[in-house]
Amino acid sequence: MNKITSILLVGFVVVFGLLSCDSGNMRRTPGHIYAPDMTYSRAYDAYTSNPNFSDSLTSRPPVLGTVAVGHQLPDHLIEGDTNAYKAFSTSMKFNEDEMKEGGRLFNIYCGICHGQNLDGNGPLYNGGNGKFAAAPANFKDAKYLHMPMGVMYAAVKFGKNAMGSYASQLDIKQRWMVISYIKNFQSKNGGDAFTMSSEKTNAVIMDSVKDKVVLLNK
Amino acid sequence: MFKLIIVPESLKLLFRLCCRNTFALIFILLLSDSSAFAAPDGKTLFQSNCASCHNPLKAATGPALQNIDKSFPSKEWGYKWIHNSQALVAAGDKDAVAIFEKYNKIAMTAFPQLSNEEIDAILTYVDEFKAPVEAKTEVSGTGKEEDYTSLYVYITLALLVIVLILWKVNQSLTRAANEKEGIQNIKQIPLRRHKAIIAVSAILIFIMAGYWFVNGAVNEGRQQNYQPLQPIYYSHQVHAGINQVNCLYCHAGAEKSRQAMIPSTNVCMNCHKQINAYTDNEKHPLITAEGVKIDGTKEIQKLYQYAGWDPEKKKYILNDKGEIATKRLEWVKIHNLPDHVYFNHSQHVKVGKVQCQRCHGPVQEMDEVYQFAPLSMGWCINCHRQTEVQFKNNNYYTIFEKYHNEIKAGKRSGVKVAEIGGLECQKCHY
Repeated sequence: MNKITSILLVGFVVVFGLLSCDSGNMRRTPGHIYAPDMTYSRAYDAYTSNPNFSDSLTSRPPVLGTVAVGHQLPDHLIEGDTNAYKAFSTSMKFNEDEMKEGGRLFNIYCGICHGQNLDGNGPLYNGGNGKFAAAPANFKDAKYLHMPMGVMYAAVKFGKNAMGSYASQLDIKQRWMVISYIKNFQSKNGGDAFTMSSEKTNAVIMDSVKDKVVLLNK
Repeated sequence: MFKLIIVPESLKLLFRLCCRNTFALIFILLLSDSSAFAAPDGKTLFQSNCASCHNPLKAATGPALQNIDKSFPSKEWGYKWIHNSQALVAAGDKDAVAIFEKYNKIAMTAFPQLSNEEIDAILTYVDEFKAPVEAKTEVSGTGKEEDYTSLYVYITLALLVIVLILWKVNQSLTRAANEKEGIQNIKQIPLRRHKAIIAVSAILIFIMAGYWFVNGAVNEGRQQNYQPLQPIYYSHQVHAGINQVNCLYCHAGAEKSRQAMIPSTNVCMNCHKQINAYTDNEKHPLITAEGVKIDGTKEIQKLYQYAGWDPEKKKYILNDKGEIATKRLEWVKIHNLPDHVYFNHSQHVKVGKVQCQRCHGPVQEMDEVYQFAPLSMGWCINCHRQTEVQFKNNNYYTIFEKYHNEIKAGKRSGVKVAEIGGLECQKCHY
């Protein structure tokens, strides 16, 4: 009898021990790692904490007065200087593919509020029934049809009224691509004539890339 | 037959008069139509002038407008305020200054172009505005298909026990019968010394132990289904699923760099300056994997603390240096590739045009994100063997002239990642 009880007890413990390990596939801990120094970077990586800086961030902003390779020159706009906004513009021109890219970026970053039809009725506003209480700008509205592009640029960079700043999501070229997409749309809906189109087709650019590659190979 | 209809003289006169003055009449009608009879459309006026800062029911940049006219000292005062609120404040009007102070000195845009009738129309529209009632969709009875695996396991176990008991009963009954009839019983061997049983259980234990051991060793360091607790209960389903926010809206780095980028709080605040409460508790209650109910509004309050935002004053809190007083928000990283593996998001998302969900699973249906894929080397390699590279309209691959020519000549339908070096060791390990 004693034997049977002990066997039952051990069986009970083993079965429940195994059952407690089964958490329905959900795990809150990353589990054991055989060689942690080969898994977790010893060097400071983008997301790792860094004791060398007071804010302990490894990702740093570029050094003041420098421009990273492949990035556009800074725009020198100052927040709140509305007269400078109105005069501000760009010499950038965009071809059809870049304008399409501008549309894609618009749908990702702006469409959620301003609507993919640029009518200020994105899923978050939804005619006043959405989560967002304030109506986003309707680009077909007379108020925005003739808005200078510098003012739009400043709104993207610094934010405006209820809109936040998109400087951390869109780089300078992307901001202008988005604005060119809006301006091109507005020119077809009663706005000013579109001035940012470039004749350069993608094929021309591709050829120039090819030339560079050939040069490199030589 | 030839009876003339006698028209009274006075009527004739009127008719002539009318004919002569048709133009004048039309003009008068037109004028009256636009000024006297058609009331200004409150809804349109509200949408184009007020809606960017006000909502009838919710507080936005400005206060909610429903019944706000009842709080005006007088109707005339209301017109003056809307035409130019700042002039009223500057003139030292007591009520105007009080309102200006109450709303943190945010100046309301002047609307001198609105006529008194138009303002009345807007106020009537706002007062009569009702929150739209959403049609409740009936949830049909057929829910998820239930998982019967555990039930089958229990039934099998119960049957095994019954078989064992019946076998024992049968054995002892046979023995009892034999004793009665005088037949000698075969000597009984206890189960634990039974050779066949020992052999079978030894093999079974060997196989199972081997399976568990090998599986455990292979999965050592892999973190599939890892679902850590995050500092804020951020539901991807609410954001990316229900509210249709694009993945790249927050993870903008996925197209530009190695890291997909965990958004800083300023990206959250793009929407959450306005959205300060979770209102979908009935439609989509927030529950952790352990079954604990979560108050979404409290989680948004947590965000405000990290972002340094004062929801009462609707302003960022500044520290002594004039910077926004943010706190470090340390999200727990879920997808950990070993340090000796190089992985680049932009290479896959921008060049390879791979959908986020292919590796991260249905994130738009996850409240708490877990690691969907095993992230093992076999899993990477398998995808590289099967996936075709988007060669067409992709500047990145212009230098692969041989493949381009072969495609043009019809010798090849596509190029797999493996064929452009996707299986080379040093592609990922260097």
